[in-house]
Amino acid sequence: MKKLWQMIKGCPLFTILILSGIIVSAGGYVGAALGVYKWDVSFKHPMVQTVLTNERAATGSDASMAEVTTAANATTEAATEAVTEKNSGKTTEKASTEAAKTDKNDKASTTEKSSEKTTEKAAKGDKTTEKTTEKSTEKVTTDKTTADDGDKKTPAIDTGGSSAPVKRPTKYKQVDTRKSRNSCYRDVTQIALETQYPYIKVDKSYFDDALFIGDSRVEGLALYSGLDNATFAYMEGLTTFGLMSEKIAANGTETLTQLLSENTYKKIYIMLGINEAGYDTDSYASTYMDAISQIQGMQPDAIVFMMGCMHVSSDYSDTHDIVNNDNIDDKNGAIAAYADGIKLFYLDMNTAVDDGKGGLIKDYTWDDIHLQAQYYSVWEDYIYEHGLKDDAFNF
Amino acid sequence: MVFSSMEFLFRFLPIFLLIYFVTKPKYRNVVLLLGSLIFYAYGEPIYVFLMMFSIVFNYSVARRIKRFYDIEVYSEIDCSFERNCWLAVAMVFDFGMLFIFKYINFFIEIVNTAAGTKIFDSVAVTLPLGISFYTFQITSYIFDVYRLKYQADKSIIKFGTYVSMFPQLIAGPIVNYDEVKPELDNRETNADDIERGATLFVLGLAYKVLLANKIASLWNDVQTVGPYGINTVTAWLGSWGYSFQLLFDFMGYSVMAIGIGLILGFKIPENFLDPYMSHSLTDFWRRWHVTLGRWFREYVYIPMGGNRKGKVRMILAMFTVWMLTGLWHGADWNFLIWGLFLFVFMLIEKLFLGKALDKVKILGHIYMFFLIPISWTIFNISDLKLLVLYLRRMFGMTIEGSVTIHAMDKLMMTVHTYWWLILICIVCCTPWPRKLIERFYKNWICKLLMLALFWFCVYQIAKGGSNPFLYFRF
Repeated sequence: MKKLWQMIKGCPLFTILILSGIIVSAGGYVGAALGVYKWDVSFKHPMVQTVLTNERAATGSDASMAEVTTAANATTEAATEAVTEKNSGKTTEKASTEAAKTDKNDKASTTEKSSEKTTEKAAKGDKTTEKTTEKSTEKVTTDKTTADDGDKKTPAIDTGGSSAPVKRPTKYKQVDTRKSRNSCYRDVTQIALETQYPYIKVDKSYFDDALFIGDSRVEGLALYSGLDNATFAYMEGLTTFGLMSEKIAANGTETLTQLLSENTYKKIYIMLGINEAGYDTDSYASTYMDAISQIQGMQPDAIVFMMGCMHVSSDYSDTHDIVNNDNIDDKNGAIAAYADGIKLFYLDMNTAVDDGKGGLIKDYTWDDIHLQAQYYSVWEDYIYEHGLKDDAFNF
Repeated sequence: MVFSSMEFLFRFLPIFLLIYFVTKPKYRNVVLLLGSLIFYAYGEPIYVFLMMFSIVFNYSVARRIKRFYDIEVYSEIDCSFERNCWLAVAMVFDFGMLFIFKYINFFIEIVNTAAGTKIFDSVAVTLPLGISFYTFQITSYIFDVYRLKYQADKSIIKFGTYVSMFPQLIAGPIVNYDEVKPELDNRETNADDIERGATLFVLGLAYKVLLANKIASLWNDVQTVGPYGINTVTAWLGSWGYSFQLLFDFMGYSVMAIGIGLILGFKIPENFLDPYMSHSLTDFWRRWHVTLGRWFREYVYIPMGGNRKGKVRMILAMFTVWMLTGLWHGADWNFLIWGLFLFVFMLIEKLFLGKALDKVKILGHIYMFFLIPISWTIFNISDLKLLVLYLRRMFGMTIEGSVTIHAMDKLMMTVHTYWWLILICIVCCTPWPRKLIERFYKNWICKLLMLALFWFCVYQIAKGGSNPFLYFRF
């Protein structure tokens, strides 16, 4: 015993390391058993969980989660109802019926309903909407203020009056069910394509009054595309949770709120989603929509384009349970459901970089997540080919 | 199981040490052998049997070689043929295994390319963990027994422990048997060694987790953009980032191995002697992965005649050594090119430049400032097209289709993000941080600092999720 004590006295650092390791480990196990910490699927060790839980609280992600819920409550009942209906994964059909109740334009609602059911029907619906759109846009212009008021309250679902602009539904593609590999997203049965609209090819001056917002992918677009006349606001690791509060504009000196209060933009493009992969789809979509309603509140004349999050390469997707294309498709689908084709569009550039298996083309990327410099032109071309006609801006 | 993982730090290591220290010294080799096999089996549940077979096989071959020596001594019958046969058998087996698991597909690719058609299909093999390292340890043992440097050990437990000892099993250092033989026979645990070992372990962990893992994103950032979008300075910065990552990754692992070795009572040899402080490539390779260079010198360069049999033989020996060094690091063309690059510069230094570099040290440092990142860039990029593009960018040559309007912005952002980390890396390349810690490790302030460092590392590991060692798959 005396010998042991001598030994321990000789190597205090070693002893403390071992002891504190044992204590923390044991603490983790006890905590897990008592229910203080939850076991995570990806990090099995309760010790890790201890650290992670602290980390989340520290960076304020938990706090922003709380914000999310309040934000969701703040939006109108119809919107929340639609969100929960959709996200609980019952059926999209029900959600669209819900939307149909609020929408008085019968024709538009029926097209939306049918298009969400099957691709075949969607194709038909496409034609009908195009017709109705062209008819109604002229009518709509006079009723601008009513539409605006409605949009401020509910970005997602148009609750405008009888002469409200006609909504253009998002096109979906049905796919074989892909099982979710993590609790942060749901099984994927359909992929959002883009808002149905007869897009036109535009020239560079179209982007004079455009603003691009996003994470490191948008940073790449800012640095390596030819869109140098547009404004960019980006930050590596940007999420919807920090979208309005992080200093992302004017070389990291201004928040988006500041930027939007100082300038006016007609087109606002947003791509986010890759950094939110670990958050559940519901909170992602609701914070996203909350941020968009704030943006629209500050820029009433702008059309917001939500760009679906770019996929990762198929290899990467197959080997990652959280950052994978199923998760991205689920999150894209969730935000696409809010696009109304009037002031909020959904675009998906993945069609331009698809490897045929639903992943980012391997040759275009080094880290499986970002495009290499010379391939941002592909994305740029997609944006050029998805311009809107002038009359679309008169709502 | 890597050292910088939760499983190792909070499960394997404490449990193992507890059992190890409770066991009587007489049985500690058995505990270490079993522990090492478990450690290995955790990552390689199948190939652990390959290693076990290799241990048994080589043990018996060494015993046989020894027996023929004994017969020779007692009966005066010449047994050199039998000895040579057994040596050949062991070499064919050991390097054969290495070839099959590491080089077979590369070989098939070469044959197919040479023939112009598909003669062989590639084989689905995965590289067993640490096979390059333990093959080299085993072969050094066989060679040395054959050369009568020491006697083949009677105890398979000791030999097995030597080969599979978990601190150095998967990423070196490559230990010679006679270096650990005294400790395998009889080792005493001494509180001071344990304390020093714990300190070194924490330092190695910090190298790995806080420096290597962090600076890794510099190279990733640069490669993510690709050579089309960066300018020359960014290209160099990226290469230096990778050079730091490689150093701290590998050195961190070696220092951790030495630390655990001390805790267990072994004196594992140093593997890195501040390589980035070198003033020539020759000097560099005396400091970088010392135990590998030693192996090649002792078992390839000197047997081939070294520098004693004229210039031509020397050049041939050098060529062999550096091409093999290249191949040892990986089975791909860029490793051969890298080996050739090392050979050419070594030769230039040996013939002309060496003396000047030795004399004017500052010139040597400037020379190495450029040579180190170039060398690691060739080492790192296995896609030859990309390698050429990247090197073109490093040397300021134009690349068609570049998008570099904002390349300066990218550079400023990179510097802005990494300058402090680069500074810390530079400081840690000098011998001083480690010297200071080894000088003051008994001081309480230093102890508290190391404790804080350890928990900071743990925090980072927990946050980071995965962190595979660069030198892991060897």
